[in-house]
Amino acid sequence: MNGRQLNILWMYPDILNLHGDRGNVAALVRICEQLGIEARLKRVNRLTDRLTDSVTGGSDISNADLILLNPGELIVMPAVIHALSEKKEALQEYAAAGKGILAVGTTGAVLAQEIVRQDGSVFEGLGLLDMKVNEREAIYGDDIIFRLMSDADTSNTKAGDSETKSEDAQSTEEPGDVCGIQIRTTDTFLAENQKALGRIVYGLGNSGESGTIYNENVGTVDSGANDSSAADSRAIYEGAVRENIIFTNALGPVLVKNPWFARRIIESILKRKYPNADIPAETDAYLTARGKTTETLWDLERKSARAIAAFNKNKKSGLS
Amino acid sequence: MNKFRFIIALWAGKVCALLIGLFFPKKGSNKSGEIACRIHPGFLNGFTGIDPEKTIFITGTNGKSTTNNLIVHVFRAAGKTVATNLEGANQKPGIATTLIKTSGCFGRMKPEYLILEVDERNLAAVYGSIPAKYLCVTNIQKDQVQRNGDPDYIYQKIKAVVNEDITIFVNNEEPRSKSLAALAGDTVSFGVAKNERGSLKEAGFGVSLPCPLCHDAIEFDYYNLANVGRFSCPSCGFGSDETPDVQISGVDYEKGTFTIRGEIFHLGYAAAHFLYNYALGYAVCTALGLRISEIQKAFETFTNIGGRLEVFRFGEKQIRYIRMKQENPETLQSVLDDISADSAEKVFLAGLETIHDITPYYSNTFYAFDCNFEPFVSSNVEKCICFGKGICFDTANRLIYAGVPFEKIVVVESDDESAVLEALAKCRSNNVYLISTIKAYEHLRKRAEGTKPHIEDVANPHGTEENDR
Repeated sequence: MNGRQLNILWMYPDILNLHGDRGNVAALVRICEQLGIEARLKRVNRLTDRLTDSVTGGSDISNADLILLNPGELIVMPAVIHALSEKKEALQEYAAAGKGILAVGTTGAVLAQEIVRQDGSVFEGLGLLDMKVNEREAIYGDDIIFRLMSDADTSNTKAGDSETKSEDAQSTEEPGDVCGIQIRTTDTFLAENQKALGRIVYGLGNSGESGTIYNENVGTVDSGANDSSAADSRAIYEGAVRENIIFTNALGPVLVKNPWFARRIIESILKRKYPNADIPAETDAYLTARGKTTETLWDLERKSARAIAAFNKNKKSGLS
Repeated sequence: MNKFRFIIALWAGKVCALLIGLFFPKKGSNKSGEIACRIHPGFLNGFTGIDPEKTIFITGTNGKSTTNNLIVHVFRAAGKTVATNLEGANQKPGIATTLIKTSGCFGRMKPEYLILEVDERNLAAVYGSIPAKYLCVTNIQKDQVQRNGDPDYIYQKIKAVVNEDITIFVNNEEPRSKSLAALAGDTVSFGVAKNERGSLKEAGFGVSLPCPLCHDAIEFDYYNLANVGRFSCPSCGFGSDETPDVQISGVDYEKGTFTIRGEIFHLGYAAAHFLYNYALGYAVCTALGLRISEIQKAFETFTNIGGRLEVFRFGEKQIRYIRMKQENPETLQSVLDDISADSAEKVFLAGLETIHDITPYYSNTFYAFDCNFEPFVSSNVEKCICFGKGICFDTANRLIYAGVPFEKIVVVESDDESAVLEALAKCRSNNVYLISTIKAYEHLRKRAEGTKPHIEDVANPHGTEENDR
């Protein structure tokens, strides 16, 4: 270990219990270990838990570096939001300090401004991301592949210029592309100034538009292959991000299937926690000293990403 | 006009059923009903002679077919006449087919009892036409996420049907099913006392579920199956009854017996999930007036139609194929528990496969992360062969996360059964378990029974590379 710690607060694991996404917790612990970072995990089981550290007496929220909110049923969201609203001030301070929250699937609603259900009922979210969530009329399940936006990007409309990797739509093994599953019971609408997490390579976008760029102009020979403005106009976005607060529709569990995405989250949080350290360089040095690389560590995941990209390229999807 | 349309639809259905019976006797459990419902959308409303007091619907996520088969077996053994859908065609067209086959020329039902397995999503539509007095809810769990999204979707569908005219049979140890009791006119709860073959909660990463009433976390005292066991919600006080109306206890797997209310019954299937089928079967049969001795006698002769275990050979190797439903973690957990109960050295053929249910097909394997693999990992596994184009790597990764050493894992990136058998031939153990889709099983079996295995004698027969994980 290189002396760095990541304190993970796993919120309401029994309530937000869908889609095997408890695997995200196992992935964070495992990937931290692989990268020489000590992961400290704390479960918060009940909505009524006070979130006070029994040893230090301090707040569990202020002690945390990453709060994990796995997917849950839409019906439990008001109860979860109510419980978290009582800690809203602490959460706002936490967010302002650049610490991390990862909300997955339906639980993205918790971070939204507002949630509208099919029966017309409306409830408020925590408002930590500038987006609204609507319950879908019909459930949609499919694969999802998206390309992460770069840190420098400030606007969704610039996606074509600033993706972290845009050479080959099929090469999801490269850090920058994330693959997973989506079980969509909600659509998400980002405000104009709310940055998306990524651009859809295959699957359904945030607001329910579908798309695939397999037949587009990214790394393929096609008519209009170099017309980036045409590509931008068709861009479909996935998830949302503000500093280290992240919402993604990708299940899988997403951090199991994409350890490079987990690494990016972990390192981004630790860069804020340890401002005087060069975290990625430390990680690389840790791996090198042990004769390891992420290529060998994550060989299986890379092969999986390639196989699933090929599967999606060839399947009958119904997406345009 | 409606009656006339019904008769036309009925006769069209009967002719279709006759033709299918003559030319395709193994098929057609839906077709006749499908045609009849197309001719007359209100077709199910037209039948006469159905007594709601003698009508039983069995719904829920897991165990519908087995429980239906069991109840029908007991009723018939007791001399009752029953119309039922034993083929498992549990949606509206399948149920219409059952009624077509068992009614007279003008749609009057001939059998005394109507006992139907009903798909959860079709329950409201079927109940709207046939208002059954008795509703059995086996359990409401994660299943078919591409259609259902989450368990609450199904919970709300069933909840919308329950009313004060209904006598409901609820699982005392499954929170969602149990919570429906408050909405029905009468309730019979069924359950199983703490069982020696119960599932284990995973240390550290184990999760339960939200309370269906207040949405705080449910706590379990113990598990008999995955997310089935004595539970309570400390926040609102909802929980299992101390003792359900019908409770199985004194299970003796060796002798094949269990006890209800001091009476001993035959246990034909020594797996924990069958106990809930027997408990519900007993509860229904006694509520409908059958005698204990009739139930005891019938349980002794019960054979589950379409059992989920098939055994075949590949040379010296005996392969046990255990059926599981894709995207249903509870059935995968039951399979893993069954395999783990065998302490002999074994090979595990894991073919989770891509999901080809509705368009779009997709590569979902996340339900495997809802399962506890810990007992499996420590159950003397020689090799795990992960196959299936597209998702074999994800299957392998799930096993690695569970703690299976990398050198015990073989990945076959192919749907070609020859490649799977080639990898299997290199294993020393002759004790093999297979999970896959039925289609993949059939292909593998066909190839295995027609092929003699070629055993290689090499140092590293799998060609696996050491991985510095």
